[in-house]
Amino acid sequence: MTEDVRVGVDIGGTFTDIVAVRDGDVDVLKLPSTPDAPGQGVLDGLAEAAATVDLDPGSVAFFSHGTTVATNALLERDWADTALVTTEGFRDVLEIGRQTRPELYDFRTEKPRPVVGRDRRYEVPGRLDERGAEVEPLDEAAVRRVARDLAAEGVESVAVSLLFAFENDAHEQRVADLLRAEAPDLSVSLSSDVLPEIREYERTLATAVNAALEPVMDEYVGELERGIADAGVGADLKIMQSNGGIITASAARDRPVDTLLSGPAAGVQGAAHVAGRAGLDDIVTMDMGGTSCDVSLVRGGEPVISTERSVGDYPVSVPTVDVHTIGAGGGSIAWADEGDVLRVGPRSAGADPGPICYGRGGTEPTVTDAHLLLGRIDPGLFFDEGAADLSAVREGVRRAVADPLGVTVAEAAQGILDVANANMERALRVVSVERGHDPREFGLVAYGGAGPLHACRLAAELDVPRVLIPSAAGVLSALGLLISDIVYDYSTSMVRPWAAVDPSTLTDAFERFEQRGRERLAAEDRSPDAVTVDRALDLRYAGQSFDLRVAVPDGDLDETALSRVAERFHERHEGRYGYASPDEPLELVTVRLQARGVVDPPALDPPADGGAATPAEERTAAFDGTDHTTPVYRRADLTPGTTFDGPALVEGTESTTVVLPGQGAAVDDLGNLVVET
Amino acid sequence: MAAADLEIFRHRLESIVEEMGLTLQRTAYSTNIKIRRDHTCALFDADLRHVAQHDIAPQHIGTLISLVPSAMRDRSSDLERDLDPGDGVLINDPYQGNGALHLPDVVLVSPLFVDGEIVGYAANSAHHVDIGGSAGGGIPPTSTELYEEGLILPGIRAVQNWAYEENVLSLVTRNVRGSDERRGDYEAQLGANRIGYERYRDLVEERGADAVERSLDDLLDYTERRLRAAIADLPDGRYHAEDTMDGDGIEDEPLTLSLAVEVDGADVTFDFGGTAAENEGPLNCTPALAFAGALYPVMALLGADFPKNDGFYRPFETITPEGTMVNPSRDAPVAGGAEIAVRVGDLVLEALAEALPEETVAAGKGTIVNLSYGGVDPRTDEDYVYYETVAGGYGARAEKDGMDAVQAHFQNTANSPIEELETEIPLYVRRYELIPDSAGAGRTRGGLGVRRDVEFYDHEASFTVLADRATAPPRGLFGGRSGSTARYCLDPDGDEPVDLGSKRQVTLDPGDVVSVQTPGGGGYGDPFDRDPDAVRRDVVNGTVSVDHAREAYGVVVDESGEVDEAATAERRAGDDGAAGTRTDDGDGAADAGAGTGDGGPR
Repeated sequence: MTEDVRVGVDIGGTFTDIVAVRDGDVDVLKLPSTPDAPGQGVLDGLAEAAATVDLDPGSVAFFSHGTTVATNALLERDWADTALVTTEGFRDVLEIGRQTRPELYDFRTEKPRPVVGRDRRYEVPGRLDERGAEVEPLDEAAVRRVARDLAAEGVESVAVSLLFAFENDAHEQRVADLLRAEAPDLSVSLSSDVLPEIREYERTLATAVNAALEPVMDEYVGELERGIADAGVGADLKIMQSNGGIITASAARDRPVDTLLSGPAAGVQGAAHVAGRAGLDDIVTMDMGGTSCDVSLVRGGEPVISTERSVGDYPVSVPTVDVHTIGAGGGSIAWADEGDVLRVGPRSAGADPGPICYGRGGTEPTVTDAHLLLGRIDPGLFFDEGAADLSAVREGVRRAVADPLGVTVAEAAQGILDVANANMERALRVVSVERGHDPREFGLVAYGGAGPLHACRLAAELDVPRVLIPSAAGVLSALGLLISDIVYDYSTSMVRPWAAVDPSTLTDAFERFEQRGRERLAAEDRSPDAVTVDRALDLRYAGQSFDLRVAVPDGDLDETALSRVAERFHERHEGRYGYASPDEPLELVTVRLQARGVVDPPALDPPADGGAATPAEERTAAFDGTDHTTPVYRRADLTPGTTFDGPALVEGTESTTVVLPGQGAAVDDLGNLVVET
Repeated sequence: MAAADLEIFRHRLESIVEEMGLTLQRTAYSTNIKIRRDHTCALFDADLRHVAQHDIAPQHIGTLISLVPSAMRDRSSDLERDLDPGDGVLINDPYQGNGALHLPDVVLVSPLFVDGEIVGYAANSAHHVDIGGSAGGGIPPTSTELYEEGLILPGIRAVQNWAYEENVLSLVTRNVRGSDERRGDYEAQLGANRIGYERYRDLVEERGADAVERSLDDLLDYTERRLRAAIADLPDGRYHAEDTMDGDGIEDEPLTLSLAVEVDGADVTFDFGGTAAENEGPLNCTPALAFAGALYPVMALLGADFPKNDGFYRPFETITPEGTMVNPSRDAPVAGGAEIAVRVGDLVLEALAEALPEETVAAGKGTIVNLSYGGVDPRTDEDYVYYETVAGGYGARAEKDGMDAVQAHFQNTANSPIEELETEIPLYVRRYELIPDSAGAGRTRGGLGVRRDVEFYDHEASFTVLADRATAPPRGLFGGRSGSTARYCLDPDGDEPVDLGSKRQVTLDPGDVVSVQTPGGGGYGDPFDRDPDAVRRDVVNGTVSVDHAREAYGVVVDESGEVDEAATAERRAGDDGAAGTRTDDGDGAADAGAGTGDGGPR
């Protein structure tokens, strides 16, 4: 049997995480990221792995990468000179958007800047009706004029988005041909390729974002492919998409819009995998750092996917792991407001200057400072000369919170944590309830620098029975890269009365998608029996403006199959909204197919059992206003099977876990900390 | 620690209304509630004090704080005897208490019983797509009585044991268009209150009713304390502004809307004295809605951070003289009330400009622009009704241009995608675009208005517009010019366009094109002080014409799209002999409002 060697590399803002799995053995490396040349971080990681853990690049059979290149280019608008070609009368759709203000109670709020400026937005006559039938022919002379203009202006990339192109792409294809004839070097993104779904603003936006990022991604991926080949890696480069599936590098070059949440998607996949192995299939993940906390849901082992997320200011409607960001982190600032009440956030000290205890000039007390004062964090983490600087922390809390409110510093610190937890509890509840779930039915998986400090308290407040703190929290993303399937999503809107839908039309559409998916996966050496296909329809009651996704069985569709789909829709509607209207006419909205090349997760050997752990030290820590002599464990010393009771502190390299009095903790066979609340 | 406990209590309470709001939104059937989020959930305590609100739709504030306590007290002096656990009361009567918004906003109130005693009330208000009456969508533009506007629910018990009484619900839904959809929305409203009941019951059982009431006292006092501290920071004075509305749909005579904002220490009075008499047509606004319209900009100026409860409203007094269009006599029509309330937002900001020159905003769209389309779909032979609103320019701000194409003040509802609209109704949207030169010039300019042209290509259709701003443009501030007025017309590109005014229902023949052109926002500061490069960018983008750049901004942009600096300097110094200088309103009619009027700073 050949050695199964897989490498996952996740590039984050600060660190690049590398996980190498060789026949069940896991090696984990962490290097500083290289923001100016992100691909260099990948190559540095390979070199480091070769040097320190003896990884032979030539043996790597699977190489997967999570990237923030597209995200950063979007956030910084550091992208290609891009134009838009659209239907006459509608060049401002991209700018008008949904006509709303981002903030209702802020007079200084701004709409997102249009991805393509008005002077680069071109209109061409030609019109399709709502079924895609031509009402007015495409004005080809007008398209040629646009093409010559684009060539003369030196535009690099163009988005083409015409009304109802999801019903009929003939006009868009013709525009592409004419543009390429006049300007052969132009990158062209068509809305009928990128997001062939109804709603012109969202489709045009996704297409424009794709066009603006395409040259950026093309260059990055090209360099990286050459780099790893030069380093001796024979395997193809694979890239994580926002939907939690991986694709080949060449697909990512064409569809950078699908990689905007590459990193977070890998993290959620990693968390889902680790939790699943610990017996938790329904979880809330909580990645809490210095300024914010990313929350997502996993149901039945699969991350919840949404097409309604925003990246930066832009509502990019491609399928995306449903990560919701809460403005609460270790750096959230505590203050006494003008009504004499203790508040925490939404302002954050961030990483710079950061909490007072960082000693980088921060003067406003933060959540991290409160943890420190209550003994939850080792002062040695921050201070060489502990005592002197701890007094600066104490002084900051006294000045900003304790004195204005007339309480002791210890009471103030406890109050800061209580209020911070109340903020987060409310936000976690919103995320769950908004998606139709009761948080009590979920486990909580907490990571990031601050997550494990808060998770056990939050779980108790939310009645979440079990918390999991992954052993390798910082490398969840890299691990996620190794266990995720290869996934291609296909969709097209076909809005029409359900009663008028011809089953053979649907069968044809599904078969077309399936063929494309299977061909694609075959070209990537996936054997046919490792390919699965999921078919679904988005349906709604006629007159509704939101739809529900219903799975469609395999095989040819007939009237009976369709009526079964309709029944399933009514059931789902009843389940989700509490009522169904079986006599109301239905409407078909979108046809979807997902082709999945199943990747067998690598076997991971549990860490060797090294015997019972004992506390490394004891420290006085305050819980609910009472000092407790609290054992402090080193994460690295905790071996599988170890159990201990709270109160306890567990110190790792990335974070400290707080286990409360009355809670019990155990280390599972993978080294995860499992706390029963 | 009390200072932390109160904050934790507040989060607990607000998360109850938040969960109510999310439940309503998630389970509602119609777009209005689900996507436009035109709904609000609230909790009241045992004494009918408003204690928490999920603040999605600010215009519902007035409805909730006036309607709920007044309607419940009118029912009985002993509500515990009048109501049973699991009961629910439906209300939409605009003439209950200080009023509601309009008939389509239906409120459901549920008493919350613990151990046989009422410990509070859960309530929510949702904008239903239809409430019966003479026009679909609840916007008859020429009604002369409330009865034409739909079904009036005076506070009737409609729910028992957390289920609608079928004979009440069937009466309601039989009187509205699209009864099945509406039924789903009523069920969603009940589900939201039920969640509110369960969560509030848990809170009361956990802490005890007395302790909860004490925390509520503290919370309301705390809110009032913070709000008064913020108001005390505003400069004292009586600030006045007025504007005119187009007319009421029956008679096209301009109508004065007048408002003085008086800041006195930690108190604020909104005085509508001087406002025109009530109208025969639907351009009337209840006092509660007028208050909500005035409150919105104040809330935005103070920041969103305040809890919304009775403590928040204590510092405000509203004077609405009886018999005026902000306090009409019983049963006058009110369908156009939001037109007045949204314009009140412009007036508050213009009035306060003198006191808060850096924080304020010039006038913007200042009209809701209610549109509805109705007819028989030739594809199915079925009736259809479609309702939408169109955005316009936002007013310029001290340091920023006004946003292009956004909603005004408390209105923040999304548009209908063209592809959805054309799929649902046999029509073509012909244009959906920004209107060049519609923005009021200024050191910062206003936002651009929007043009939406629609053609019903194969059938006769009725088109309804209930809007305003066809005669009075959004004014600029501190030398900024007015934005363009609105225009609602037929055959916009033909030889003889037909202006419809702002409140009309017309029948369109197949092939007719109707054009909705919304106002641009007012400018801020002298346009001759605007950065020439900003003007150049607008010219390159085609949002300001070369002529307008020269005339209004004194910036000369040459054919290559560059600023001619010499010609610009000359023009701005007034040496080129051309008409129009920095002190002149060269725009003519479009600037009717600038430099005139009283009270507002110029």
